[in-house]
Amino acid sequence: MSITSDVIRGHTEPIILAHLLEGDSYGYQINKEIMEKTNNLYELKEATLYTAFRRLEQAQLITSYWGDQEVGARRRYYSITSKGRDVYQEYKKDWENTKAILDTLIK
Amino acid sequence: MNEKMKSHIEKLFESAPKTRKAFELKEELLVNSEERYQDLLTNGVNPEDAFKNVVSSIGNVSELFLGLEEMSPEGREEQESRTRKIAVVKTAAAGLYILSVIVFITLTLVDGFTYSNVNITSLGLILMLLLAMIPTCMLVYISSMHPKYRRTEDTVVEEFKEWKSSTVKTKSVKSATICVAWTFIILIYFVVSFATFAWYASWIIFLAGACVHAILELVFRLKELRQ
Repeated sequence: MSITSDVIRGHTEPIILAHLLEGDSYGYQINKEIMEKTNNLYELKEATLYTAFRRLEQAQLITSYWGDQEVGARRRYYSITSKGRDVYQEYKKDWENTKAILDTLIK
Repeated sequence: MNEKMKSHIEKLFESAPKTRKAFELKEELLVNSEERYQDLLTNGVNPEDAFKNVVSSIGNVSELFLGLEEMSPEGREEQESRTRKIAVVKTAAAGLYILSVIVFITLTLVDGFTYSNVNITSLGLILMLLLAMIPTCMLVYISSMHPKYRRTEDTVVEEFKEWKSSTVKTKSVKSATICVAWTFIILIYFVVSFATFAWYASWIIFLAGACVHAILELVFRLKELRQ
């Protein structure tokens, strides 16, 4: 499990981008979806998540805005930019190649 | 909002820089943690375990704080080299001031030993004032070149510092300008007096000088008002 989570953590940013492709979202929702998709096998630490958010924002791959909930505190939503979409597609291509290489090396 | 969780997160952020970014991050973390906590409770987890789960899910926040801090190392380096340059110019200016005084004293001494129909002491005074003008101009240049205080963090304190620095800057430019003006006035007084030997009337130049001073004062005040 430790190897798996290390490998996954290295790909936090594309994982977030992939989630934002489906629509704007906020921190906890993204994490919840990750848990649901992986059957509770994997979840991100909040700190890892926010570090990734800040990095993506700085690289202008995502933007953020504050939602206006009528009750309770405000949520911070993130949405993917067109640059973010491009980078994600690039990343996907790279990942396919890496996966193919790893598949031939580790059998 | 769960008080226990709130105080836990507050504590985590104690060591964080007091910036707007940090405040927003705290708010974001609070909201998301609260939602996770509520979800756990609806799933039948008891409050104690739910709290522990939330705390452990936050992870190590110290790496987050790094991104919330001030300026880049390049910016700092640039500022340092500028500070060094300013120090060099200021030192040179101080040296020139001393030199001008030395020239005056030397010429006064020379005046005591030689007999000529030129008043060397007065000549020395003019020379001293001329020499003093160079470092004065240097200081004026430095004070106008000196960059405005750039905000490193988005806080009220920084805004205050910026405001303060800008008022200090206009004040220093003003005083330097007035200093140069008076040097000129004294110079004109001596030049005119020696050229015409009309000592009985040339003191009027000082009255004109006071007038110039008042006008300069007014110009700066108007500029301030316009801002």
